[in-house]
Amino acid sequence: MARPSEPEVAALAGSAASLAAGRRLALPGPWSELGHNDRSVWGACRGSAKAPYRVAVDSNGPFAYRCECPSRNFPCKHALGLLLLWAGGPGAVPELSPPGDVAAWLATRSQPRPGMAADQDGPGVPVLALGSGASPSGADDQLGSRTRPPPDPSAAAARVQRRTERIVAGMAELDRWLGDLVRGGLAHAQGQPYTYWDAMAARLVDAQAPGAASAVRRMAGVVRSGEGWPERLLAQCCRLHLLAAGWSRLDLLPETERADLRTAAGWPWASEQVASGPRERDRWYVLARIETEEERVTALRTWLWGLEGGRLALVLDFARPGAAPPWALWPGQVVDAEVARYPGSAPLRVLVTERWDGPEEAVAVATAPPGWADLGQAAEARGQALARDPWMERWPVSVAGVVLARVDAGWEVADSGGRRLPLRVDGPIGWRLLAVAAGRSVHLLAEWVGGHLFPLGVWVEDRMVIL
Amino acid sequence: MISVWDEVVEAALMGTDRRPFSSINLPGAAGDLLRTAPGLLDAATVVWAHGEVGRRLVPHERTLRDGQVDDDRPLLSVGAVRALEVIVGDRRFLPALDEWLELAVRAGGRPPGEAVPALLDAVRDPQRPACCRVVGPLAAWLGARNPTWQWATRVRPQWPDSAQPHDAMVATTRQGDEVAMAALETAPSETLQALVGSRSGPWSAALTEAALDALARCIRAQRSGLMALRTTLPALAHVVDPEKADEVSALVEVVDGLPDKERAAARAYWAASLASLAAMVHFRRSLHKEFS
Repeated sequence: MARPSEPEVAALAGSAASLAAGRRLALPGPWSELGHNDRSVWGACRGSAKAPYRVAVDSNGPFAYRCECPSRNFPCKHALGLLLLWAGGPGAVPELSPPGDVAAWLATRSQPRPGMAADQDGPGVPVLALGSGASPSGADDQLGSRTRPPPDPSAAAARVQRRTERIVAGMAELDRWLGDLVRGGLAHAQGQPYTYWDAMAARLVDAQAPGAASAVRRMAGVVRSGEGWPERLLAQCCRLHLLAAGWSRLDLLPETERADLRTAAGWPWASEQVASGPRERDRWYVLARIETEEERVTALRTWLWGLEGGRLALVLDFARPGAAPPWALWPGQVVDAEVARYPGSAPLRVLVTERWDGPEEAVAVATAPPGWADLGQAAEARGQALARDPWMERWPVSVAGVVLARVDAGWEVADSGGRRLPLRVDGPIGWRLLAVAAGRSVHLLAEWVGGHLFPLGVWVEDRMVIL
Repeated sequence: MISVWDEVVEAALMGTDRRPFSSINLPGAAGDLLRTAPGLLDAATVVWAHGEVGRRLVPHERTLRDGQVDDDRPLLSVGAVRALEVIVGDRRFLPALDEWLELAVRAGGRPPGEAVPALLDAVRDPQRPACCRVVGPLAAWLGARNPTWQWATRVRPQWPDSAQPHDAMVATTRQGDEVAMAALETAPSETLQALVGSRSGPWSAALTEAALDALARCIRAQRSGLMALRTTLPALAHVVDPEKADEVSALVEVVDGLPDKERAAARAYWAASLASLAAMVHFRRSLHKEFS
C-alpha cells in the first residue's frame, strides 16, 4: 500500500481521543516486527497485555483493520499508531512479505463473499440510507429488490427457502465445530491461530449467516482478552450453541422466535417489511450514541428512551467508513419521531419512519435523562429482555445516583443501595469519567455487555458529557 | 464456594476428551432442563442462560464513596475548553499551553472534569503550579488516585508571577520599544534573536509590526545570519501581538516574491516555516477571543 500522509490517517480516526492515543504510539519504541507490502502494513505493539498486540491494516478497498487488542474503537489506537508511525517517515516500516497470520488474513479478505451483495462494494454507492435495515455484511435479496422490478412472489419464497436451508446447514456445521472445541478444551483453542476462528467464520459467511460469522470472529479476540477469558469464551459458545439449536428446530418455533433467530444469524430485514408493522410515536430522549467499525462499515447505534411510552429503542445505521453518519442525533436531545419495531420477541431495534421535527429542530434539553432508579431495576429489566431474546448482546443502562470508583486495578460503579457492577473502560476514558464525577453521584449512561458496563456518557451539573 | 458455572467453565477449559464431563445439578426448572441436556455444551448453555436471565445484583457491604470534590468556581467557556483540547491534542499547538494557563487563571473559571486528565498529562514541570491553580482541588484529588499525577498532591497551586509584576514588566518593556525598533532597522536578524530571547510577550502592536517587517527584509535579502534566525521563528510565534495574525500570514508573499534564482529548497523551507508561524499566531488570536 502507498504510505499514507498524516492528515489521511487523521481522517480515519473515529474520534480525537483515539487519534491522540494513536499519536502517542507513533514512535518506534513499542513496535517490533514491522513491515509493509503493496497492499498492507503490519507490526506488533507492546501494550498493557503480556504479549504484544499484532496489528495489520489492509488498504484493499476501504481500509480494514485487524488488531488483537480488546478495544471497541475501529481503527484502534494501535492501528492508528502504526499508520502514523509509517506516515512519519518511509524508513520507519521496511518493505517485506507479510508474516503467516497477516498473509492468511489478507487471503480471507480477498475471497469473494457470497453474502456481500454488490451494493456493498460497487462504485458510487451512497451511504446506506437512514434506517435502511441493511446489516453490515449481508444486504440480502429482499433489500436488493429496492432497485429491481417487483419480485415474483414465488421466486422470492424460493429464495427465502434456499437461504433458510443454507443457514440451517451452516448452523449444523457450527454446532459440530463448537462440540469439537469443547471436547478439545478451551485451553487448547487458545493456542489456535487466527485462521482457526476465521475459517469457521468464513464458512458461516458462505452459509449467509454473517451475524453468526462475526460472533465466531470475535471469539478470536476473546481468547486474548486477559483474565476471565475462558468464562467469556464459553458464554459465547453457549450463545452460539443455543442459536444453532434454535435453527435445528425452526419449524417448531413461533414466528417471533424465528425472527430472533434470523436476526441473530445476521439475516437482515427489508425496511419495507419493518415499516409495514405497527408504529409508535413518542418524544424520544437520546441516551447515547456509539460509532463502531464492523467489517468494512461504520455502525452507529443510537439508544432512545420514549418519554411518554417509557420504551427503549435502538436506531442502528450503517455507513461506509469516513462517511457522515446518517442520524446526527446527540445525547441529551429529544426528538419527536414515529418508529416501527423490527420483528422479534423483545425487539429493541427500530426503524424511524417519520420525524415530526425537522433534523435541525431536535432540541437539546437541559433535563436529566430518563432512566432506572438503581442498578437493580436495570438488571431486572435486562433479565426480562434476555428471557425473551437470549441473543440480545447489548442492553442500555441509564441510572441516576451512582458513584464511580477505582477498585483494585479496575473500575466499579455502585448505586445508592450498594449494588455494584464492574465498568469496562480503557485507561483514558476511565480517568475522564472519574474526573467528571469527582466523587459525586452522577447519572450514568452505559451499555451492558456480558458482565460489564461500557460507559458512554454522564449527566452531571445539568449537562451531558459524552465519553 | 465454586458455582455451577465455574464448574462448567473448568470442565470446558480442560476439554471433555481429557476429563469426561459428569452431570451437574440445579434446582427447579433449570434442573429439569439439565437432566435432558446430555453433553457439556448443553449443560453449560442451560447454566449460562439461567445465570444471565436470573442475574440479580446483591448489595455490597462496603460503600464505594470516597470523598467528593467541591469547587464553586464557574466552568470556563466552551470555547476556552475547546482551545485546551486542541492544545493538548496536537503537538503543534502544545507550546500555547503557557498562554492558555495564564488566560485561564485570569478568567478565574475551572475546566470541566472531562478535560482535566489530558491537561494533567500535558503540563511540564514549570507549568504545574498554574495548572493546579486552574484545575482547583480536583487536581490533588486525581493525583491521590493516579500515580502518574501524584505531583498534583504536592504542588502549591500558586501562580509564580502574579498578574501585577507581569503588567509591570509589559510597561517597562514598552519604554524600550523605540530603542528595539531602531535596532531592528539597522541589525534586523541579530536584534530579532536578542528580542525573542529576552522579552516575553505579548509584544506591542508597533513592536510586532517592526519585527515582522525586519523578518521580511531578512528573507528578501537572504542575509547572512538567516540560518540563526530559523531557530527564532517558533519562539517568535508566542511573543508577537496575536492581533497581527493577518500580517504574519502576509509574510508568505515575501517568499513568493523571491527571485527565481533562489534555490527551490530554501523557498520551500521559508514557506513552510512561515506557514506554521502564521498557524500558531492565528491560533493565539482565537485563543484570546475565547477568553475575552
